[in-house]
Amino acid sequence: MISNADQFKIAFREEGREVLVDLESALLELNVSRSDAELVGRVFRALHTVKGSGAMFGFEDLAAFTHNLENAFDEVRNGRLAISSELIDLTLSALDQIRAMLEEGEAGTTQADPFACAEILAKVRQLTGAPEKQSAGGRPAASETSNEAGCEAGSVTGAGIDAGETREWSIHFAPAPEFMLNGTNPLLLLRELGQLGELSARASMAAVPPLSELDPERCYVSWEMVLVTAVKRDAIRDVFIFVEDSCELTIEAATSSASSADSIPEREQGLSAARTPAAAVSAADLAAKALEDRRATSGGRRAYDAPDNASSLRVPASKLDQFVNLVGEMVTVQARLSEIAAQRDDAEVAAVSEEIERLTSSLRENSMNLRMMPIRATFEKFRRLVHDLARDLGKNVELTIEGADTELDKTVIDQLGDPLMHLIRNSMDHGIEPPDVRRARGKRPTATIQLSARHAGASVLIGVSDDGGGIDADAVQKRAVERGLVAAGAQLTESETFALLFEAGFSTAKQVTDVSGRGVGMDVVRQRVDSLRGSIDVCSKPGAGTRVTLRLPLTLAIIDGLLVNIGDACFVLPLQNILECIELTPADIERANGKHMANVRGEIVPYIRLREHFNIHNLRPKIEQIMVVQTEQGRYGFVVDQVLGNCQTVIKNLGRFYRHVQLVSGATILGNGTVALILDPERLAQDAVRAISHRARGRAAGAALRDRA
Amino acid sequence: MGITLKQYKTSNVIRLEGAVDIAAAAEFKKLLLQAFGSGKAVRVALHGATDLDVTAVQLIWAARRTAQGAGVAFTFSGALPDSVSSTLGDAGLQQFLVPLRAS
Repeated sequence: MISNADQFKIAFREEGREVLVDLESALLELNVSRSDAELVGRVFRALHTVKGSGAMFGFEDLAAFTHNLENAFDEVRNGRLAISSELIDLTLSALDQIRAMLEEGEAGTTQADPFACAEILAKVRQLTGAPEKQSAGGRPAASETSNEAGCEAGSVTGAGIDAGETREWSIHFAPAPEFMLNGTNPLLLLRELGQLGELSARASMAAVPPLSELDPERCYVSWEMVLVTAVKRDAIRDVFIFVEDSCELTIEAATSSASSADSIPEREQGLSAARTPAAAVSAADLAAKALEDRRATSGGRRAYDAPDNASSLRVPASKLDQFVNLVGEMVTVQARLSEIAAQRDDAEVAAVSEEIERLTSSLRENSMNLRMMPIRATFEKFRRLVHDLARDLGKNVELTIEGADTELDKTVIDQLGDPLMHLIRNSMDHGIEPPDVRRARGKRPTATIQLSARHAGASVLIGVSDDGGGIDADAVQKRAVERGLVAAGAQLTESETFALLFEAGFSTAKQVTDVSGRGVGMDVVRQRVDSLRGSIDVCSKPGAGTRVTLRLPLTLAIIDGLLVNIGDACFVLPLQNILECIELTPADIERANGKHMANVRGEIVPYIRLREHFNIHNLRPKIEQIMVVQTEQGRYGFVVDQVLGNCQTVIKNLGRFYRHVQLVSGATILGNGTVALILDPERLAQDAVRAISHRARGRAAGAALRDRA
Repeated sequence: MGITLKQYKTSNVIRLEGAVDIAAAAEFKKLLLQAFGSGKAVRVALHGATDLDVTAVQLIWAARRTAQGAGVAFTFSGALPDSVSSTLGDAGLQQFLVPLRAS
């Protein structure tokens, strides 16, 4: 069982990771806009938060190490140290070590390297001109630096973080009863708060029960505080960033501006009076009584339980997955109920079934939304990759991000990291030219890589584009011929040519570098996108750049589908691909002279008879149905016996045994308990095109042989 | 080491040693209840304490109320280290370490 202290360490790790991502992205932005005081403030504040909260949750080494960096950025803030590439690189390397310290003890993580830490600190001190002060092994001793942090951080006071106009803030802080069970010490928070300015705190004991009833490990104390400081509200809130979920916190600007504590009104007199013990107790009790009244809501519930106070909750992904799985089961059972209701002539059962259908549909939508998260964090982490690679390759590259707030399923996001990394590495190594070549071609010496995301129906489009040299289609074809992937002289379309880039082991690179050239990366991209039931589109103009677009489904768990049957077998076609359904009569077949072509309002649409494609041999109905679908290969018709209707489909994996079955993307259990395979229209169309061209080649070869004979 | 209770003829003395924090809170409460159980005055000896956290201060405050209800004295002897006093003072908690003379 996980103890409370461990749970809060886990929570700190999760929050800490987010702060580090933000810190990294601020550092990389700062590298570009070196005089941006706002960015310097952001970096300083993030370091300050990591240090303060790290110390509070028992990550003393992390806090001590971070303290040195915080000092360096304090120097920057005060204009005593200029931002340099060296400082940015050192801080980025330090971030890697902080990250390792944060993850220490977690399975499968690398430990922080004490020698690297020592080296970084020595270099940082060299830059700031600070005296040597560290213990053996690189990491400063915790006790030494905690003290150091405590004292020196005091010097931060007044100058403040994001310093601005001096204001008076009224802060109400009421820890939840369990607050201290995880090792959190509210006094340390107050001390940290005190470092931001002049703090007057008044504690309330009103909630403390009689001794016999008191749970000695619970926290019953709350505080009303006045802080006079130049820092902004966010910086004050950051002190509480890791405990916000377990306390009641309000931060209000008390007056518009105050140059000194003297200008604080009557409230300050009360606080001063509170320092005289005898008077204090009654004064504090009166205040505490009022406070208690404010905290209590109907039914004795404390305000931090109120829903409007908890604007967001952190839930482990595994719990969410479990919940979505249960909803999936529910959808299946509901389908069964609907089917039973349809068979019975019972108005009451039918009404209940319809109501459950409505609720399940809404539950499904809501549960899917819970899993949706913005792609921002995934995109932001590539800033570092681009920065490091640009340095290693001697290229100037800036990364721009568009549509970072686009939301998609967490499962999809989790699997996007690798493909995006390979695409970016490929762009930077092969696509983007060195600065002198760019200049010679009349381009800006600094190249741009753009990551973008946007919704398109039930899909999301993730784009990686660069303004590099573009793909040499001739070189790709030549290499494909050399590798025997296409016949010499074959006429390939642009999309067919670029599709070759994603073949395993395919590379046009003349030499293999550390970054790319082995022909592995693009294969990984294709495999991962395939596993996500997505598709890849490449667009490239020689000299102008390349854009790779990944089309991915918004969710992987449940889809809207159309249920069809061929003989006794049921299949589901994803609704998002279907354009329309039309009948295929014997007259239509006759008009097309037996060719698999349908005339859809004047447009000729080739169709595939799935019965033949799947070798289903039972009797064909007189009138069949053509499902017209839109695929990347164009419009196709899939001929089935009957369309049974719409269905919400919970996608079940086919398992490892069937993992090579390409035309089917999963299976689902129907209301009557039978299994229906979910067809992949894209793959079906590709397969059909391949089969047709194979037959055509066979016919051509046969004709040639006959001619020769 | 830790917290100890010494019972004398007219009073009971609880001696605090080392860090009196959440880890020691259950023991501190137990000894306070024991001390008040005899109906005698209770004195808390602070000089051995190196730290006092919120749980200790709220126990002392609850004990003071118990003493008030029982009409017995609740006093302190010795002083806390300056750093602890200063931390408690800054957090507005020092004011709750107030002795109660017998009524």
